[in-house]
Amino acid sequence: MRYGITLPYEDDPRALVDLAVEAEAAGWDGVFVWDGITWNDAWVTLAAIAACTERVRLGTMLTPISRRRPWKLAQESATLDRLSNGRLVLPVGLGAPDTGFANFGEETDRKIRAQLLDEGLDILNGLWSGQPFSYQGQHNQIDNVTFAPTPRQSPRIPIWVVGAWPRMKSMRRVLRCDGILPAMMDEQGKSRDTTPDDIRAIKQYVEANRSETTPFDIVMEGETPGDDRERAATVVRPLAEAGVTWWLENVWATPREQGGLEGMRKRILQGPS
Amino acid sequence: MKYGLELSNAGACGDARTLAELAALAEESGWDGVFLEDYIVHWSGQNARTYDPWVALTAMALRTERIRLGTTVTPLARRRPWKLARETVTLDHLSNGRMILGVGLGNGSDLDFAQLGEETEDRRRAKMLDEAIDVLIGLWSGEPFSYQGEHYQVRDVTLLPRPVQTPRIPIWVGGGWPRKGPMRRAARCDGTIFFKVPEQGDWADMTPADIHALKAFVEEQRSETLPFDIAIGGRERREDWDAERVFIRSLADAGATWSMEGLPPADLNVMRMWIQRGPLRGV
Repeated sequence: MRYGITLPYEDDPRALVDLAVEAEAAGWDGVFVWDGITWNDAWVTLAAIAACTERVRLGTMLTPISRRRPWKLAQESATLDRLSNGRLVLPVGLGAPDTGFANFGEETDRKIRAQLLDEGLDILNGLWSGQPFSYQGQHNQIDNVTFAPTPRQSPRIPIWVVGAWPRMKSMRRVLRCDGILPAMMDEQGKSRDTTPDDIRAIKQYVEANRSETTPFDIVMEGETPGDDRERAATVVRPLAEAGVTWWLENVWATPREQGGLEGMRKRILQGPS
Repeated sequence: MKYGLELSNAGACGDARTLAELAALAEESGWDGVFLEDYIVHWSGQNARTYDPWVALTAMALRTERIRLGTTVTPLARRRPWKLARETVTLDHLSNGRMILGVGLGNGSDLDFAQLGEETEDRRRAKMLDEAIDVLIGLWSGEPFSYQGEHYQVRDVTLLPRPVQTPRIPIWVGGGWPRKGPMRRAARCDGTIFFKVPEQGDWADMTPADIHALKAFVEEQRSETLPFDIAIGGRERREDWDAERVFIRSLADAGATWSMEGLPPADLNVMRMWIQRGPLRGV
């Protein structure tokens, strides 16, 4: 099981860089930053974190491809993967509506955002390959472009995608990627919490149906107390046993009542569960 | 007079870590700024290694303390202005207020435009550029901002934090001198990084008369008393350094404020040597 932290918004991006450096020293395996127009630029922030760290995995949480040019995303992710010596992961999804869509005239229709996400994944894979790439999509057209350099990681930067279980269209997208952020749906289509049994079902499905040979991660987010290892273990251990491979601690959930930046820092210094 | 380096965003040095090292070297060697090209697919050929200039500039910012950093130039028509607004502000904070944003039209025939389904028609790109400048300035203000353009719409957005620099991150307008569009655009921005449209061949140096004319035009159009930069150069250093110094001196006397030396992509050791020799000072 690997443990990451998700950092929230701070006016001063340097504060996030400092927290990331402390997280690496405290034994965390990954640092993730929010990606949305409402906040400081995640990619510039991650570039700064990459330059100041050596070991932690880096990523956004998460990048909604529908409001990006996939080729710009391909370029900044490849550059960042090289700068970080191959530590990037790319979590993607449709994106929460309040992260910068409607107010900028971006696409809000869910079906179209899903199409843009799928085309974006096609284009990322094509451009990252470093081979001559052309594409005729509904929304994007590319005419014989060869990107260089490729990302540092081979065959690609691991892509984690939000997967709505048990929706098959969503899960088919998951099979093309390198990890899932499960979003459970009940029979009425409403979201509910993920249980260890859900994780087991997802793991079984992926193992039975995935043809990619890259490692596959199951990623969950939540909060655990940093000063009570036993209580933290009751949350995390059943998930790890069921197949979760990454636990992302939402340190942003802790702080506002407990001192903001200092509260986050305290949780980070306590280390992973 | 300030002295800047213009680096390709491709080539053997097409990598953020290397650029950070070169930026640190430039700062030690007396340069006042380092500026990057901004291409997704480099004009020099399909296999040229390029990097995202914003990721690279971040690495460069963390390795330096004094030099200005920026792009010459970013073609706004293939960017979402709000994403660019965020990149530039975050970078301005990480660099303690050293960002400069060069903006331009791009070329419809550029691989970046033609082959990625971007806008290739000049007039539409010009309109997108002008609207994007409006949106950048509005979002950088930190005030509630709305915009109803032909190409961009923003509905009541307040982006914080503001840039470190006040009143804003300087915008330098690229383009061909003496074309009307770039001149008009420059008058509402903070500087120029023009090339001179050659009467024949593919390069012409600006002359002192050109600088006088540009300065007069800008002063007439601009109501603000804020600083305005006129950047010249952008080509490689010629062999006769004395003649170059005299040339730079003459443009400085006419009102140019930045002299830019372009370094073509080359072997890393060669680039280090070029940077270490320091700027050719006209004054």
